[in-house]
Amino acid sequence: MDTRVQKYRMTCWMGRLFVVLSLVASWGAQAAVESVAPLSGGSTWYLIQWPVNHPFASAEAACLSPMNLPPWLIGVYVYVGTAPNATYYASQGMLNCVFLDTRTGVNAVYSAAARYPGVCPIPTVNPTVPYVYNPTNGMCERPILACPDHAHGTPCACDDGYKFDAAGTSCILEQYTISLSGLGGVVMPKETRDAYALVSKNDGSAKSGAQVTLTLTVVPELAGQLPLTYTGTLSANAVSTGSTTYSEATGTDGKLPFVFTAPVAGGLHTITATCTNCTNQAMDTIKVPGCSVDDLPPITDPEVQLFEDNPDRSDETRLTDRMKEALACLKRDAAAGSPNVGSAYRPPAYNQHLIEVWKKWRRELKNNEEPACAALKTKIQGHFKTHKLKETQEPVVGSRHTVGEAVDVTISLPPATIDAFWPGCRLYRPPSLRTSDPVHFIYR
Amino acid sequence: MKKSVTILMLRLIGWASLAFVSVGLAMAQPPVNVGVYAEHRGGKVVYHYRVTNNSQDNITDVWIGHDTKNDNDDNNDVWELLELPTGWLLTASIPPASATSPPGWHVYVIVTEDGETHAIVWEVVDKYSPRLLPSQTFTGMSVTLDKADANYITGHADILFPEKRQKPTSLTVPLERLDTTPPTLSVTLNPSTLWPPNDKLVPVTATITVQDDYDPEPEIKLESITATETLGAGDIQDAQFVTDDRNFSLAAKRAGNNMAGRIYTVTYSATDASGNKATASATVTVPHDQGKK
Repeated sequence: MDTRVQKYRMTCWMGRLFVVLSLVASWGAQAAVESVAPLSGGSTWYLIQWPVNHPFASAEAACLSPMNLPPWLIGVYVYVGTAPNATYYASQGMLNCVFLDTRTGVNAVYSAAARYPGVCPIPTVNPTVPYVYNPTNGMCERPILACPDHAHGTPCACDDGYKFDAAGTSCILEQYTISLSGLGGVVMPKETRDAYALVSKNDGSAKSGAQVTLTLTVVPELAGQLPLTYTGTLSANAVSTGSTTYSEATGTDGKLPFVFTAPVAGGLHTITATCTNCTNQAMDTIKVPGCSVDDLPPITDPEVQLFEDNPDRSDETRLTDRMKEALACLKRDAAAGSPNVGSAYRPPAYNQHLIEVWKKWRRELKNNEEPACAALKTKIQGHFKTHKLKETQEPVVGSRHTVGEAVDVTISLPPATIDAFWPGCRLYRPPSLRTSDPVHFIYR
Repeated sequence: MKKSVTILMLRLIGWASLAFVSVGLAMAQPPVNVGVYAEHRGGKVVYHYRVTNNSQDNITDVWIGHDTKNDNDDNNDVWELLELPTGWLLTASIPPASATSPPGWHVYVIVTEDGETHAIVWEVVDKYSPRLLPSQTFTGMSVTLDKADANYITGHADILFPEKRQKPTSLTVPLERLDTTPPTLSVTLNPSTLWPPNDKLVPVTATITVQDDYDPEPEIKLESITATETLGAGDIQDAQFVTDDRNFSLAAKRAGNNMAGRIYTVTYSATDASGNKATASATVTVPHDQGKK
């Protein structure tokens, strides 16, 4: 029988080729053996040999090279299945290496050179210890080997969360990656955003049952607020109570859905997702816009700062000369009322600051009920009170205080008596302000 | 075929232009409209304000007489109301008899620190007060003054939207005068003929009928009495011009050579509180004779 093959064509979809490189000696009697059924379904084994100079395709050559065959002769036993014209070939030890020999088709011209009574599969666990065909019972057998760490069962199977390494000799942690979807951008105060964490295996498939932990941190937009006002929450759904952490296992689709609920105050929220066996942590942010009203600009002028630190500061030195004389006159004439000067010269920059405080409170915050503005509202209202500003009286650019021609003087005397000092002392209380601002005197 | 395609294209362009113009008109609508009209009541002048919110934001404050110029410059703000009405205190709301407010709102005066100018402010009382919502119109804002003050009708309204998420959070708009139609006025005089021409003074009574679409009591004034002949001293007696004087005396006198006789023309004016003025005249004749017809 001519078993020499002159020409081959191999493809990957018609046959299974088992390559038997050597006959494995019997392991002898073992106290316990692991047995599996031999491969079945075939009918005939053939020895196929390629000529020395056979032009293998590169993929085929790569497939054969691990077999350490002599380069001048390659012999294989071919296990031909029951459908000769659709036979799969697989070389033993190269289960992923399949190719088709067209000569095994219906009109195959060669016959079997050897027949093997049974072919054993390549073990997936500890593949270096092969199965051996036992003709007595018709099974493939090998000694039962102790399972590696994190593996149990017969044959050994890695525990959940572990997988065999490339050699199939030990179980290693499965490695996953985690990602976050649905976050980013802006969520308005008290509104919610649906999002999810996704855990994937290395091959990209979803990992179910992975324990995911989500944590939330926040940088508040405005300092000095209670954390409760600026911290959002994470929860399973929009109706459940949330907190800054949320931990749960992924579903069958590898996802852990969750809901972010924005707080009332503004801040930048960072959500971090980790999971068991994940090689990474996922992170994304959500901005919760704060109050639509800007805070007051910081004070940079040292002179303004002096007044800011002491709103009752009275600077009589920079009153105009005539105002100094008028004030001295008033102090003298109204001595019985213990006149006390609360405000005299006011630097224009400080006056501008008062205007800004007044407008910030009266025009932007007083009737602003945005939850996110609550903290700023409290802050500016305090500022407003500190400066003894009045809602019904707006400080204006060009105030007489800024040119040293106005003073605020508290006098414990009846209003008519106080007004009687004008025109003698030339300090005048504007009639429209006598009720609302009775201490305000201007030079006239 | 070509011609019909061209016509179709022209029509399409026309429709598109029309749509563009329509959109432009729609966009031209101001976010807030503040209308004002005035009426005389019981010798006082009542200014009524009607605020329509065309914006997408809630309104909490309506300041009348404050013009911010819609910029961030504090230097050019204008406080338009100059004279603080008698009895109004800056430490409290305007006297209830002098103002009305929508439910949940109140009204008071904000004055500048120099005490020389002010604005009338309506605002929500507290956070539970109803805001002026988008598409909503508030009436019920009125102030009553002892005398007319044109600044209350020709000035500006400063509207605050403090809860607006985008800036600016206020808008100054000019007041829109709702009443632009003068009253209708008619005058009849009795008697309308003075006879005999004996140079005596005859009392004349004017009957005036006036109507206005906003002001139930337009201000009536006797503007003038003229004649077709040169008037002598004392020919017109007891006439108080520029007041609502409807009773006066005219001399039953005419020149002997004036065949047409003397014709007095009496002119009244009616001015509604929004400043729209109408005049009407009637005549009293002193005929030359009682010629047969």
